[in-house]
Amino acid sequence: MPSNEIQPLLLRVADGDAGALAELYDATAVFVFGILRRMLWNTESAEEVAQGVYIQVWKTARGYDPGRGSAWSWLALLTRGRAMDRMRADGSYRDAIADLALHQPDPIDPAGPPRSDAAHIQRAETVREALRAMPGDQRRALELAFFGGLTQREIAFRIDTPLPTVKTRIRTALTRLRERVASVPQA
Amino acid sequence: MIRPAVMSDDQFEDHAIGHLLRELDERGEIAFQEELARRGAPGHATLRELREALGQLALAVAPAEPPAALRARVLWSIGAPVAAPDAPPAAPRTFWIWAAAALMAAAAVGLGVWAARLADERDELRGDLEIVSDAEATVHDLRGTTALPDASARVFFSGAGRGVLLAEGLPALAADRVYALWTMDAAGAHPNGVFRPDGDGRGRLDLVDLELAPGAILAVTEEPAPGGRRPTGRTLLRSS
Repeated sequence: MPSNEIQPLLLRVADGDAGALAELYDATAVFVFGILRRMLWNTESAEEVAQGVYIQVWKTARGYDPGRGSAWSWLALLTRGRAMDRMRADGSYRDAIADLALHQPDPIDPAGPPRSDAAHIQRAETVREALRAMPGDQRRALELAFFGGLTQREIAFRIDTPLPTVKTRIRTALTRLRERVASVPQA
Repeated sequence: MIRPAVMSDDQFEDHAIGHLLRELDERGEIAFQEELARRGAPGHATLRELREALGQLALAVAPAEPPAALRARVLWSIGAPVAAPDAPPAAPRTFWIWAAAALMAAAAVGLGVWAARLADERDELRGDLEIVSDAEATVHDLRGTTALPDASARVFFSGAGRGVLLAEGLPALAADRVYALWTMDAAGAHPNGVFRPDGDGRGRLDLVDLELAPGAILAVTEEPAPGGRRPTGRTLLRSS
């Protein structure tokens, strides 16, 4: 689902088509909400931020440039950004999240998405396989950076590892991930 | 012409990742943008690949069904012609946020205490309270025009790029009408979103990336749902 086929919806949203936003919501809400649940660990906060995500989509879709990336990546990073704003607005909450992130054994969805098409299932499973195949320190650094909302400097401090090492782990992990994902055709 | 790069490939990728994860400071962002310009198309291709990888990483987490009412609230928030949600968050939120806003306007002293109490009582208010109690937030008062003299509104916008409009004294609207907030400057009117009042005549609107050029004003009009790109109704409230 969240790959090339939501691009036409996003472009219609950019033209002020409220019906397209409803369709975009239907196509992506379970994934957006999943990201927010993972990052915020609180259903109420996730719900509030999710509403903000789609309002921001409505207001800023005109800024989406298909030449710079897929519609899903645009939406996923926008969602992460809204979650980051919430996390940064509450430092203590963020600390709690980071602690949870550090001690959480596996953020990967073991069961797969509740509803999706075959192409999405294949892509999501490819991502999970790529994460499972990574050395644990690389995977942890990448997850702390993306889902934990920590800067690379904060990760270095928390796991007592030199900053250049953390940067190398994240860069290497992301390189492996993009190589694996690139081998899977877009739906 | 592509100018010689000054960063190694690894340094460039580190900066690109930092850019995408929003963790570069101002100097880092400038350095990254300069290097991106030097590298031209290959640099943009790397950035795109990294962006895609991060986007796909987001698919690794468990999808989760959002609450059923969320969809209606989203569409309601943008002024789409849908029935008002059963339990719109605006009503209770607006009351408490207005309480905090009034406190701030009356006396800054003690706001933190009240804000803390309110935050304890209603956890979901935190986002708005952070905006209205942000010492660096900009505040714009809107007064009702002769068309709506009893209405008033206040726009809070934090340095973090988030804002909220709180309005009161608004007449109820037909189901196919909305109130719209506009930024008006020399270039014309720019939409900032639409909202509907609750049963007490209060309205609330999330704001994103609000920019007010010198001399620009904020104005509220009544429009056909779901709102348009240009105002068609009379100005009901405006900033000075």
